[in-house]
Amino acid sequence: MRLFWKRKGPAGPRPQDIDCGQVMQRLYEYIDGELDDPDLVARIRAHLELCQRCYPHYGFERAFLRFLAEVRDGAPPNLRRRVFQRILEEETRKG
Amino acid sequence: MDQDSQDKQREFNDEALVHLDTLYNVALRLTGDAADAEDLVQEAVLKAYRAWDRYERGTNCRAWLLTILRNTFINEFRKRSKRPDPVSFETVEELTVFENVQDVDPEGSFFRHIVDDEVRRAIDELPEEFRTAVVLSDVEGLSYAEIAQVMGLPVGTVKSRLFRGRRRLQRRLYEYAVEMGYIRP
Ligand SMILES: [Zn+2]
Repeated sequence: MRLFWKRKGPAGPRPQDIDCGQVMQRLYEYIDGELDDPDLVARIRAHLELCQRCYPHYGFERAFLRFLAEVRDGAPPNLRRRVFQRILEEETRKG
Repeated sequence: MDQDSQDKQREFNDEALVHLDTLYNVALRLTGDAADAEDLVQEAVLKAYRAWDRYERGTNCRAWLLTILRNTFINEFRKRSKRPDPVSFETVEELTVFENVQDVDPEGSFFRHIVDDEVRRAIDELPEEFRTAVVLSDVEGLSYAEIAQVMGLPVGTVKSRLFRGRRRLQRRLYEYAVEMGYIRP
């Protein structure tokens, strides 16, 4: 396995404790905050900080997800009124 | 109207209807049509109102409503959907786009040039099982566990659908950006 370390790591998990393939496999779960194993999170973080191959990929995926979050459509203003109307009709029908 | 009805309406308004934007946005991505989305939301909200006594107080109301919305879509709307449902398990390249862009645009700035309508179209072209997972997660911010509840799936399946859905969407947006000259192939 070729490694692309930028510099020596601090104390704690070493970047080579997990390889690039494993990091890529869990990357979305890491970004989504969905990994419940704190050791794994720490290993991935240590790897990302120092791996010149994975770190830019991580940045790219985050940019993509931030971008997706922006295409949200809100309900049209009349919809709330129409929904209320249906509920009122329901109550009236029930008597 | 009696006091009970008024209390019920007030509670429903405060707890359920605060999620109207989420319901509409998800409905719009499910149906691909504004008028159908409004119909779907109205149907789902009415069902939720009728079932309000069975909603367990203090649990996740947004996920409960979205479950009703999605089931309503699948049972009643999918049949009359105006667009053909994309083939679910066609073979599509699910490699990351990063490999293509790392030398020219590793930060993904090309995404910024893509107009919202094109993003919506690309999302709408995903097969439903991927589309729902991506919209719930990446547009509405639901957790994997919430998506699993809404879609009636194990968390592991949600993970893989999200993974594959995101990769497909990314690929589609990248191809569009190349076509439009926003990025060099
Ligand atoms: Zn790496």
